[in-house]
Amino acid sequence: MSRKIEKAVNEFNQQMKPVSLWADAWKRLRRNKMALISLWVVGFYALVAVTAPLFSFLDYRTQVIEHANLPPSLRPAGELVIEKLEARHALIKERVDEGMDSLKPEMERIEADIQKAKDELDTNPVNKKVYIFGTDSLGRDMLSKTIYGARISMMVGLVGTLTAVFVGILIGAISGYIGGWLDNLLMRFVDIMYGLPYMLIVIILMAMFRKEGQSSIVILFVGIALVSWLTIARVVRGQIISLKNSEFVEAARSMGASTGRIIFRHLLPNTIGVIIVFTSLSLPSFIMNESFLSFLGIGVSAPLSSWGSLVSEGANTMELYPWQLLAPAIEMTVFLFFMNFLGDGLRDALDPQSKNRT
Amino acid sequence: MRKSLFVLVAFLAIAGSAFSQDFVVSNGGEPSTLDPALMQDTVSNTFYLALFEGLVQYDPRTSKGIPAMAQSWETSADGLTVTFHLRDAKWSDGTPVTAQDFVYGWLRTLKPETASAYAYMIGMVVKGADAYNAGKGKAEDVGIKAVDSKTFQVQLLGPAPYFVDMTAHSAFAPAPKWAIEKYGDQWTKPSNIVVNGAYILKEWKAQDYILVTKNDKYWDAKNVKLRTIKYLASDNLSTNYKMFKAGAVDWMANGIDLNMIDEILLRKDYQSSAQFATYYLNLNNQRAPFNDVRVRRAFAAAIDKKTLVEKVLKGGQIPTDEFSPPMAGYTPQLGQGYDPATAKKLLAEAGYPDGKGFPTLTYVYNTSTGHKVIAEYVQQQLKTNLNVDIVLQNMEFKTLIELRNKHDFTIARDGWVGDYLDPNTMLELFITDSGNNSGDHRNPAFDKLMEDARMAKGDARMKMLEQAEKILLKDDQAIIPLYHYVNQDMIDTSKWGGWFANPIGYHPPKFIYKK
Repeated sequence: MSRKIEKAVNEFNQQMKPVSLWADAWKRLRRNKMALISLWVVGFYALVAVTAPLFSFLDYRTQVIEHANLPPSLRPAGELVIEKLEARHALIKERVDEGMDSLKPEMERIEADIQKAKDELDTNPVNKKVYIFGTDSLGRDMLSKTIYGARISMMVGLVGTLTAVFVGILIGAISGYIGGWLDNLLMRFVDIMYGLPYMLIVIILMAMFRKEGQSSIVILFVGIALVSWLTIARVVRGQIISLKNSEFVEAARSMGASTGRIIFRHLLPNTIGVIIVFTSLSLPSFIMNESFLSFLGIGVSAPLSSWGSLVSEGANTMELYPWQLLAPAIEMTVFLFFMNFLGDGLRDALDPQSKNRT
Repeated sequence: MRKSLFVLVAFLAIAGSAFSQDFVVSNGGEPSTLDPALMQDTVSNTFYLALFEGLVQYDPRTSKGIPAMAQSWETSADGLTVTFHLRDAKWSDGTPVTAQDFVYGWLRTLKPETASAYAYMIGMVVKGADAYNAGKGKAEDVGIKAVDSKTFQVQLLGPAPYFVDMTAHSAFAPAPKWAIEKYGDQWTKPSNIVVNGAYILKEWKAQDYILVTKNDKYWDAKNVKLRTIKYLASDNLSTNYKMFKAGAVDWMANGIDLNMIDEILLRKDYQSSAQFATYYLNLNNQRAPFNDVRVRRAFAAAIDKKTLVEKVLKGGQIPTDEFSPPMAGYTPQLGQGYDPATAKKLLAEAGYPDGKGFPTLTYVYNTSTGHKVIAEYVQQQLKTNLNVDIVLQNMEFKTLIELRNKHDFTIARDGWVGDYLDPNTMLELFITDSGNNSGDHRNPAFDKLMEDARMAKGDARMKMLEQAEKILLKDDQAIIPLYHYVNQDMIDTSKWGGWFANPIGYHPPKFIYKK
């Protein structure tokens, strides 16, 4: 295995091209297959969520009561309705034959419904609808509901992450660089905020700021924003403290750079890796938190829904209509799964200390 | 030897559980209070039926009054004086139940400081009671009197034919003065409470369960079969239903899991029967935009109740535009029915053509899958038919009751179960300043008719009540009735006896037994 050396390479005749942090990270990320796939999947989710309002067939609020609880299928709804009614009719007829007379009116009504469904099968355009994820108990399309749920969930993740980044970096950097009593004050404040149970804060906020006609989602955002920045402030502070006495900072200081310039031009770029990694890993946790609140029934309210509230609703009916649980649950799991992989990949790409570095 | 002993013990344990009279009720919520004077909701009322007993008790089949603390009673010829003769009954601490306990209990309900939501119920029928409750009269002038310790006499305002049935209600409970004076508002704690009903309060774990056990001092103790009753507080109907199916719950008392209705309808242990009750939306009559009757009417016209009941609820409820269910001699008066075109027109007349400029309102309801589905349905109906947006907000039942009592809402779900079989019990809610007038309906003409109806008799009385309902719905559209309830209970009547479907849906546990 010998390679023909056309030109001798040594440290003197090479052109050194500076490699920026980003280009370096991107190069490494590209080599990580799992992370790359994750990037595509997450990108696809984001694209669908952002562009959803452009597609009018994605309608999460129209209720077609006749189409309630239809299973996922590629066939038109009208046919499914007739099938479903006939199956129901057979079940009820069995009971009526056993002597449960109380079900007779129900049986007659179903017979009338079957007739009506058959008559309208071709005339009513609504019967041509196809529900690939099925429908919920009020006849709303589960596909649209999960996509709009994704919008809310991702928005929660973004709001949490953005406040975390902006507030957290600012507080962390100031606290770490200036130190002294200010550091003490800020960090004790962070301690106190840590001590308050996050769920309780949100619940109390919801109760306190109940305003006529206002969706609870705003309060949810505020609640999440309030506590989201704590960890990142700590992390950034630690990084800054470990860097603030290094030579390049000394140099900048001796040249008369202002505190602001030192922090924002010299120190923060050196902590950016940690911040990005933390951010990508915390996004799923915000989504999980919101889901948990929605699961408890204090998250977003109808007609909006999030993955959490959809799972919560689906869980109530999982025995009869499992797709109402599975559709949002799978969609959410897949997203969180790849988001975590992406986070891992970013950490490997950006973190100079990482052992998995390639 | 050891093994056979073990087998014997195991056998006894199994035999014991098979014959034991232990009953588990899924009560659908945490009671807001156990104090009879303050009870307002059906969840709390379940405990009144177990722990306390008034002059009469609800007949488990017909919901009419049958002798309880009162052995017998007679009404004077003019129908204005009723004299009750009490039996020799004892409180759970051994003190005899006397006519004075009733005087104290009724006056306590009426006392303005008690702020009982049901005080008006006594005020409607008993002489001087309303004035005392409003702070304008004296306690001595209320027309109730302990003739002697076993004779209790009541002076009525008019010959109210439903009066005796009414006294089965918690507002007319006797009260143990000594316990209340000693413990204050802590008297309903398990360690302090003194009761006169078939059961005593043993254990109360907040948000979990309440355990009651048979009261040996109860006058009819020999006919009380159930040894213990455990009331579970969970409001998650889906979990409750699963527990029922697994045999961990014997009776689902306050609602069934709507999501599972298709399956439930096929079960033999599902009991349903018409109920003297109405599910309705409370609109805050004094708050914009509902201070305009056209807006209220537009909302009423925008909701298709028939589809809601037949396609969503599917439990056999009756869609309705009236409030008081029909009964012999009474023809209910209808409010605005479903009519999208009229709805749009009315809203435009009120100044919001096609919903433009209409504020976003909040609809509050207590957490439960059933209420949630209805709320979402109504929300979408209003959007489709009026182009109006509303926000839904769920809360604990206790909080909802508080908001309703303070009139601090714009739209609130509500339901009313008649306390006795007469239109009066439905319509009296909407008298100005009545404790349950959540929507704050105020109409002097309505108040006048209701007051006149108290003094009247027979047909003339029913006509007045009809007239009153006409004002309430046709003229004022103070509320939006959605449907008449059906009692929906899950209980295996081949296993449990003494439980009957009845129009009011109260089931005193003293009659229930294991077959």
